[in-house]
Amino acid sequence: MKKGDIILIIVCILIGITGCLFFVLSKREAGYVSITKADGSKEFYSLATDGEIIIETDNGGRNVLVIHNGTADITAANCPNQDCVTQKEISLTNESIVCLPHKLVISICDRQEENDTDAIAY
Amino acid sequence: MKKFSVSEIAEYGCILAFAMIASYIEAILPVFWGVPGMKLGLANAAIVFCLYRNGAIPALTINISRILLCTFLFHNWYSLWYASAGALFSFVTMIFLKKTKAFSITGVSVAGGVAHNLGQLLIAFLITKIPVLFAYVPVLLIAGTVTGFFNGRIAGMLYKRIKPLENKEKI
Repeated sequence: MKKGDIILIIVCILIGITGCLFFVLSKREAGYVSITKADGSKEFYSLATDGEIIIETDNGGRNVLVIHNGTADITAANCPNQDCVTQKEISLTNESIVCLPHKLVISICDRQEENDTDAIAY
Repeated sequence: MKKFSVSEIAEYGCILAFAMIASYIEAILPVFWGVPGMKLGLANAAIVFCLYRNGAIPALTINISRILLCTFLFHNWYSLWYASAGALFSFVTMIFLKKTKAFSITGVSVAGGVAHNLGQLLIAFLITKIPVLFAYVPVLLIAGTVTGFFNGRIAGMLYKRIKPLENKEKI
């Protein structure tokens, strides 16, 4: 190995660890789960209410989001790779579940924003 | 048109076969480290090896063939974008770093691994327009470095131990 290799490896690992620490340390509890679709529309659900939400996207996607004990998890989807189903459940900010084929992001956030209040179903 | 010797053709075939086997094993292994689509990228060891042994053009050809064949055999069509973006990013980076001569085969492979991951993330962002994806950058950096390091060591060992072709008669 040359000197350049070692510098490159150390720099990559350091940036990576710093970034990870930043994300891990800034995690905290928050009350809502947001569902963001490709067109930018957002829906919010409270983490306090257990329930099962069926998300349908424009490109034929169908994901089942389960809210249970303050965590949100995707338990079923009709995408080919099932990456979103295998991802762990989320309960803190900075955590997210991404479904690339359906262009869908589930993340945790603080409070409902004012827009799209119609979309909320209790 | 450039002519190849029989032994070169056989060799390229072997490298392509290895790269495809590596991709296949990764496709059926449910390796999961918390980030969607993350994998070892063992096929990149074959590409790095080929880059050092045979040069840029054969390595690029084998890389493109591998992606097309593997996508249609083991993956689904939408993964073609991610696979080709990652491979292209990684390949351009590796050629550039190899030219600077400041890095050994390991360093080139590390840069390739990191560039592969970041390229895929960039394409994912362009397709989905989801900014949250950039939260994966640190994890992908570390993963790319670690996998790139091991792939580079494997490629380096093979490069040192496999003798150059002797019979180079053109056909």
